[in-house]
Amino acid sequence: MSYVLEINNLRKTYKGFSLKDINIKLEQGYITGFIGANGAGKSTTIKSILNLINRDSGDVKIFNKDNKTNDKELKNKIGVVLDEGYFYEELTLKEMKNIIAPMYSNWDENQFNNYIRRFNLPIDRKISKLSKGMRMKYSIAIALSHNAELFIMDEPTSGLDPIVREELLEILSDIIQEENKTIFFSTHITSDLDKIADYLIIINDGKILLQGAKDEIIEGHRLVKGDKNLLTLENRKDFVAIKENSYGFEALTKEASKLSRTYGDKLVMEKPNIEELMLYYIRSDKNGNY
Amino acid sequence: MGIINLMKKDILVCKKYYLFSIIYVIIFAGLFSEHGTISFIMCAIGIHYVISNTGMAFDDKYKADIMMNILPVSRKDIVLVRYLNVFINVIYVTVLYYIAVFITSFKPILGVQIMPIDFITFLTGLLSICLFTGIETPLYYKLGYQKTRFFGFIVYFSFFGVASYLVNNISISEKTINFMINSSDLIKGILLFLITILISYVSYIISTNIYRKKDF
Repeated sequence: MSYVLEINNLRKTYKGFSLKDINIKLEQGYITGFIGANGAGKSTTIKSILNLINRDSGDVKIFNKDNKTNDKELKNKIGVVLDEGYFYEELTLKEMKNIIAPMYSNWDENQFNNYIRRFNLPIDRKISKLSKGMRMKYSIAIALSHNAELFIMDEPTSGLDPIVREELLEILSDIIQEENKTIFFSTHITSDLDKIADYLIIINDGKILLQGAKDEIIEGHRLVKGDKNLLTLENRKDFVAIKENSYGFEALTKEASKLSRTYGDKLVMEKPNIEELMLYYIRSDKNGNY
Repeated sequence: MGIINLMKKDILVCKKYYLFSIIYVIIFAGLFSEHGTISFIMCAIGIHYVISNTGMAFDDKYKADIMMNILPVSRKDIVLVRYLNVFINVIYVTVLYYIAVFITSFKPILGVQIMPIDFITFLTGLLSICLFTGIETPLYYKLGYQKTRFFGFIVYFSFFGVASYLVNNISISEKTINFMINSSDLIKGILLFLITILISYVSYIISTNIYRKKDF
């Protein structure tokens, strides 16, 4: 099967941090949420995909082609939105667009103008005079205007107010309506993913802890609450991580049916949300206990 | 296409400073008007220094390398443009300088008439900037703008020191040059051009190797 993005055994070591054998596969036509705490390795992974950093080992294939040897060709097919714009702020939106547009072989000026109108962006204003939300919309307008098929977004909702965030999520939902578009979207705001993600990848301390279809992951886990004396050395293995207090415990499990058969209604079970999944997996990675 | 657009980008980012160079040419060409060679070289080095360092400062401030490297542009081209800008700047200074020559040829301003330059002076200006850029650019890629700007500052003023020395000892330097190259303008021109290309090429290879390995 060919993937839009395929990362195999990616490694990158910095002083005090390393990406450890990252493996990711993205299918066409879906939104994948890439979640983890600050410093977990999200941006380093994204920078490796975009060739902004040199990997130590492993390979990154985009549309089945190596991202290093086909850098120029592939970047024409990728729309990138980063947490900061990295634009020359002394320039106006129009001037900056005039620099960027001719670099892309398939720039669509009409599309760009449509987005500028839709986002209500003042094309003759200096970038330095834009709010954070407007800059993000401008980045998105640029990313959407060269017929990209893969969108890579690093924390696009970070620092945005709830209204602009909601608007951004609507835009992403619109993009994905076109069948050949794929979005890889890193965030630490998990509520964004509850709404729009099809797939989830959780990263912590440079390694992938969990990945798969969002609904399957949520269906495959249960948040369990019960009396502390129900915990035994044997059944602790059935939990991803456990949070204990003097009255009872709360834990995440992949063995809901087994626990249900054994303890019946002594345990209260409910579906976890993405934030709970992320927190339990990260805690489990750190010390096996929440 | 990418190279031309990157060059346009640098001009656009530094557009104010290109305009500011008109004043620079008037002042320096006027101050050293008696020595056409020196005044042109000082204008060329001064304007290139201001424009290239302003470009580097903006790139550093807005982390432009990240922006450029997510675009479909190769790292080699990004580096190459820094060297091609030298030629753009020298041609720009020459045009400005000749406008000043043209204007003062009708009526000297404050008693100053700016003298035209010959082809060897043009090439000497180009060589001086290529030498400056040839040293500064690999250091910029290796150490970043903040550390390199002090180096640039020192080298820039060293050029002025050397130029002032040449102004005061022009006969000695002319004798030295004549001694070193006792040949026709064509041969001198070819020699200067080859040295310029060689310095730029070696520096470009070093810069490309540094930039290729850089993480952003």
